[in-house]
Amino acid sequence: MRSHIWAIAHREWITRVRKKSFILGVILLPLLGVGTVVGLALVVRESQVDHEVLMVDHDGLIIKEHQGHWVPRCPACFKEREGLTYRFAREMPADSVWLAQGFTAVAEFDNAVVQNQHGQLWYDKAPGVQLTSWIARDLGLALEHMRVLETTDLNWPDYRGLRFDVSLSTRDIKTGSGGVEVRAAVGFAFSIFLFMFIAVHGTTLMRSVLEEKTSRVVEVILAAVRPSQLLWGKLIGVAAVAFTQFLAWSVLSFLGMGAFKLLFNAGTFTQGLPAADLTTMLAENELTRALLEINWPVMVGATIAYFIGGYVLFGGLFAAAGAAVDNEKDAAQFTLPLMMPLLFAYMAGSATIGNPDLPLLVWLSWIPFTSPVSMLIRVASGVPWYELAGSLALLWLTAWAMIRMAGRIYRVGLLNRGKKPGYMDLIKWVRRGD
Amino acid sequence: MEAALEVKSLAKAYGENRALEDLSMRVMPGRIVGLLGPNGAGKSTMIRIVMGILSADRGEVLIGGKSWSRRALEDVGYLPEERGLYKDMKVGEQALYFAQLRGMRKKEAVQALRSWFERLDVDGWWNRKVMDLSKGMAQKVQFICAVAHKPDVLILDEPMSGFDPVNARLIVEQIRYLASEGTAVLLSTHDMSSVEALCDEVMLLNDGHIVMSGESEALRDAGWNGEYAIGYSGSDVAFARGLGATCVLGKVNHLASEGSSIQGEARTAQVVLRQGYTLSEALRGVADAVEVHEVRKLRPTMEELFISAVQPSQDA
Repeated sequence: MRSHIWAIAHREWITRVRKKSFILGVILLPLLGVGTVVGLALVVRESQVDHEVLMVDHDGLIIKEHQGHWVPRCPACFKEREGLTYRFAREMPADSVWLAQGFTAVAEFDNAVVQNQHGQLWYDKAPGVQLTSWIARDLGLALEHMRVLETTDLNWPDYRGLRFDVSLSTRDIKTGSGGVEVRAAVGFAFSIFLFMFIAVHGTTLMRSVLEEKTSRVVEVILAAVRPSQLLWGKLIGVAAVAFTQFLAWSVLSFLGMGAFKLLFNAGTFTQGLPAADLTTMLAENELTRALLEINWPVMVGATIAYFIGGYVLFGGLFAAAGAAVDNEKDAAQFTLPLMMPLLFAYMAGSATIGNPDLPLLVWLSWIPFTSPVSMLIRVASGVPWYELAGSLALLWLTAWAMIRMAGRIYRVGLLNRGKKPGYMDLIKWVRRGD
Repeated sequence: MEAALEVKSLAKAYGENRALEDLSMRVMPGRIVGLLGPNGAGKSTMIRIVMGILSADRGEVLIGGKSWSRRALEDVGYLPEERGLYKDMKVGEQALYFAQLRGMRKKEAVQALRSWFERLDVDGWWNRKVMDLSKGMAQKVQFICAVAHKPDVLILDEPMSGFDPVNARLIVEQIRYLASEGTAVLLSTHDMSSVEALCDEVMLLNDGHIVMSGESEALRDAGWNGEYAIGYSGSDVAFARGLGATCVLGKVNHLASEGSSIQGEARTAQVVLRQGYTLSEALRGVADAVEVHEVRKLRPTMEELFISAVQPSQDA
């Protein structure tokens, strides 16, 4: 009889994975993702405009004359950057003149800038957020240079030596792990992934049940297998489709990353910059260091375990909803309320992303209808093993109880045609079981 | 001999509605038994209980003399009234899937299915999608799915629905063939012509219990009310005089009656013998007056038996 479950699961799996839409989805989606990132990087690099910015200092606050040209008093303040060149002047030329001279933007300021801490940037080609912030930073630094020399006895290097730029790196006192924001973001990304997987494959399961019911094939099957075997076969088959998709995406992502690494190391994305090795660069970056510090085996293991529990819990209920009605529209009456707890967990997760130990998130990570989403946000930041085990045990036990209940609705619903059942009917079916 | 399928004192109720009441029946190997009854009589409920789709409130089902079990059910083939196929699967792999669910190994299933595909003239369709099949073709594939695992018992619920006369005949031949091989066939239908053409026995179900059962011929004999059809050529008045007091003369058809070989000027009169008279006495009188071509008993058809058995309770 166990072979029946596998036969049903195999049919569910094979009919889906060989569909053109599945193959295209598996291959194209990651390619689309990687392609978008790489494409954007290349497009940005190719379309990068060299900006020549004229700094018009009406009152000579930060510039001085040198051999007939205006030059900055603090050359070090105007750092050399890729695609950005500064020129300096006291007078604002006519628009047609500075445009004809090839300037892409003009920053104009006078004494008031010291009071207002505000200047004006005129542009011909939109400078972008980064360029604007570079110009503002450099101008601010040059003004700071002027104020230090005017109001103190310190020279610029000494003043710079006195300054402290403090950054804080977060570290959990119990686990010793750091990078809490990055970890929370990773956990949130995983929880979104899980939310989508449960919703998508739960719906697939519901459609599959509806298809068997509306095509009238179900009675032929029920004459050979028990309803519970049919339900488990379908659950396993559709879950296998999800894992196939996950596996294919993992392999493709791995290959994609490998290709990216090769291209990166070959300098495709870093032309004009000092040569760099991707691994070294990743290790030096604080963000990537936090990523590397995440306990990935636990993260991936928890994702799989919560997917199984969440999918069985919601998938069983979705299948029961599909069996109870005759069309997808009617099924939505039951499935929409079912998705609400997961949706709530997702929204709560997005609101508490920077604070994984918030009591609301902790509570939600214990409630089986929300834990698949909520706990994953916390797992990335590190969760005591007993909390993880307890939450998982609660989820799996609830999933087991729910699948038994859903099985009764499924059994009666499959042969029920015509009248759309209400919630009271479903309760009767659960009690009667036949 | 042991019954291939036996149902003992089966009872099932849906809330207040009693679908089956103390229903017992048996189907012997090699016999084709027709299960008749109006809509809601309990036929589908009984079949679904036998197939394990519903559970009975009371009673017992025996398959091949053994108590009902999922394993025993592998010896039963089932073609439900509400049947379908997966549209996005290929015909062959779908039939193979059903055969495997029925406990067959892949190799023997392929062999059996290939042979049935050939027999029902669908052998070119193995690799085609179900959605490309016509309704009749799909019905044939469904029939194959029900019989491929060589069941000892075959339950067919309205097997002829959706078939054109040519294919209906083909299916009738296959059912006869299976019965000749020893398969016990339970045929649930409203189609009286297929009952008369196929069934060795008939069971009439109404309001959840059997109201009539037995061999088809015996039932028709039992339902006979002494009516004869006499085919003759000559004057109607002379014929009536010739009958005299022996019979009550009923309808006279001026065309040959259905099934009769008499054409042209022939007439067929329906007569009922009066008490105390014999058929020989009646024929002696008319033989001098007209030319008698044919004399036969006018037994009720299965449809007439069905209506007469069901009507009283429906009227009530």
